[in-house]
Amino acid sequence: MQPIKNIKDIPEFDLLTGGSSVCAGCGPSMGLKLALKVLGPKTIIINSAGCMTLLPLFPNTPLKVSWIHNAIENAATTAAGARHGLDALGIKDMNVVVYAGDGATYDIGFASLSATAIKNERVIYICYNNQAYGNTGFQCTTATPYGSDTKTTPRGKENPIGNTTIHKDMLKLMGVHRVYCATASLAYPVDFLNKINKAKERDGFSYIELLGTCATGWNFDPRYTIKISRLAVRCGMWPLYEIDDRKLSLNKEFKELKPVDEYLQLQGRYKQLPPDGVIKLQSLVNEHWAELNEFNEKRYV
Amino acid sequence: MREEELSYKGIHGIPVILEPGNAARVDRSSWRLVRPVYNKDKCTMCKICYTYCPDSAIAWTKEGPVINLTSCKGCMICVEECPTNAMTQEKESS
Amino acid sequence: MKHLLITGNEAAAWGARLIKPHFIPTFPITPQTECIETLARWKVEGDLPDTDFERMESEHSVMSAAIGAAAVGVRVFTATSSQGLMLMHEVLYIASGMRLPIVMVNISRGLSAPVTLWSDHNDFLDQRDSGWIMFHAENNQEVLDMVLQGYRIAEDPRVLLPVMVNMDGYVLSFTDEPVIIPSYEDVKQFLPAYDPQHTITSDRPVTVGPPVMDEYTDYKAQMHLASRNALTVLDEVQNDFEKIFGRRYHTVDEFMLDDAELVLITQGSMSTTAKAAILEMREEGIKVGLLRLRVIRPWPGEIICKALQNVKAIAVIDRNIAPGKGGIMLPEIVESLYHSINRPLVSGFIVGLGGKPQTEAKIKEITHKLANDLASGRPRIEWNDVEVS
Repeated sequence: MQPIKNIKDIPEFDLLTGGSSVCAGCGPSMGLKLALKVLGPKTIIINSAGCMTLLPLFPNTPLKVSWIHNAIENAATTAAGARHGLDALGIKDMNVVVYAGDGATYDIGFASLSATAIKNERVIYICYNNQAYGNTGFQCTTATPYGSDTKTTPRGKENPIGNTTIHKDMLKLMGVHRVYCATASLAYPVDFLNKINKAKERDGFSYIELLGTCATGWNFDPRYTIKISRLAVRCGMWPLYEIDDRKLSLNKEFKELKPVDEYLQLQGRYKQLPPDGVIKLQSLVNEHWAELNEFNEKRYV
Repeated sequence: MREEELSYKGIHGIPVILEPGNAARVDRSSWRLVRPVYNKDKCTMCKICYTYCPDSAIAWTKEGPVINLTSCKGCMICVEECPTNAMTQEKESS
Repeated sequence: MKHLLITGNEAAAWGARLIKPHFIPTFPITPQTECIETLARWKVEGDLPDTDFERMESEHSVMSAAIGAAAVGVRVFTATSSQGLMLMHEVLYIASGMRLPIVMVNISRGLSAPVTLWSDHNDFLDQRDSGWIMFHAENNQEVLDMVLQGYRIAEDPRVLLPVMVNMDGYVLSFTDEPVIIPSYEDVKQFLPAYDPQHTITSDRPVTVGPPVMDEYTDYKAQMHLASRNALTVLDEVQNDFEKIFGRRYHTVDEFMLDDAELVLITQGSMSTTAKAAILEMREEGIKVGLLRLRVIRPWPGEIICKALQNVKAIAVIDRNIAPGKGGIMLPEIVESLYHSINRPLVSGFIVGLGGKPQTEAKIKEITHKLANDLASGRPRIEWNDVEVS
């Protein structure tokens, strides 16, 4: 498939129907709908336990492609198994795609992800990162940003910051596996789909991390799903970049980042973050942005 | 039911869904507090509403977007993102 | 057909080699490792041309990958042991719930803590509610044969459940025994092509593993019926197996039961020792026999009751322990006998934990204790091999 140039080029078919029981305005559901436009009907989605597990609910499924839900920590290795099974049958034209949340990816499923990546299995791993365990009601993962209020890092007298752990630098971790990795945003669908397309053309493992903008967990009006996704990129909380063969490329460059304030203020999870927390968060963002700019178009990992 | 009254259903007793995309017929309209309304006159056919609908409740045709109110959950992303206000919102009556 | 002197691990590997599975995900663990090493060597030497041999990073991932491959409709084989089986525990239920006919060999080893490398049956029996069909082999020939039969039973449309074949670590896994290796042609004749209707193909999109609401009980009922069906299928398969290979296996292994008054109920490799002891005791005029539990799931309760209908006393010899309860198989046997007309005295013996050898002398001692129990009318729970009293 040729790279997509603008939104009008995005294929006009949908392999994810409506009628599922995920929340109104669900970012991860939108992400899957979009990804399937590039992946096409010959695709098996491997899902780990999380919000997206509720897309199908017996006897109905919104999926027009195959789907395997195994458990939470093993989507990558389930995918590896499916790939080996297809290889054994001589079927080469099917995509095996993981669609897993950040808890399943950063935390409980990291061993199976790492093993599948380092063996360069022909699997596209898409992490829809909504920065918490969403399906259980928004608890902290190691993808949760500093300063986020979650159910297991609530703000209170003893700790007004909420989550004080600095999230894992997952792209860097995946980069050292020498696979193609990229971040993506729903507000930049052309960039996202071209990254899926790039992954699809690879004869190996790819890791794409989509900011899984989540109205319910982040506590905002679902109409702002795209607005917030766009702001995340603009303020440097979710920079768009890729690592290919250990080299870094920034995909959206800005002379100056917007301050994080506007992004934070739109979301309930940051509403009560005290000023020193905002300052700390801003400095973390600045530090990461400087690092990405320093290594842009250079060997990064 | 007594155990001996149970019958083995073969493949129909296996928890898989063999009818792809059958959730399209599931009615989610009761989730909605507001509904999107399309105004063709203001539309520039940019496809943004179609692209950003998380529930595939907007189909794209030669005449532009067609809203499926069975699937629409009323998230209003299409209304928010439409650059020309061709999508507006209306309160649901009930 | 040929005769080889091979270990239990090699017998398991031979079973896999003969059925030519599409996919073998693996992870090493003592005392199973030799099995996957054998397969790895065969793969590199060209003896497994149609099989994809893959190293995984954990047993959990072994079973996860097995599920992924089985969900696209291919034959999968693997082997594990002990802690590895326990790590798989979660996904074992998923494999059976999805009705994927995977075949796995487990090499029994006691569970930590404390660490032991030697055999008892807690690892295997801990999976007894997982929905898998569970066979426990007595010797290396049975290991190989049950792998072959395992696929036939697992893939039968009336069953469609995964199969676990168990052998005792060290005693079988590392001990050479003469094993008849069937020919590829005979195995091909025995095992028809697998053509699943509930798995993914390139033009059949299937949603595997969706959440359900009210239907959960229905699916569990179906799994239960499928497992019960396996008893019928197991019986039928013996005819074909005997026709082709000249051997057959009974669901319950009965040894000198016809006129037995005392019966030992055993599992696995110690049954061979017990049979030898019984032959000697018979010479002394003791009317003792043995019933070996070959099929743990589905539970062949009716067959067991029938076999025990004329006996006076039973020793259930458990090489396992459920702390706070006792031996695991004792209550299973007692439950089955409760509804039978003949309710013999039942004593429980807990033996051989962490691989303590079960010698003929020990078996004789158990039998004498059982005879005393019968005479006194008082059943017992006895712990053998306890060194600190």
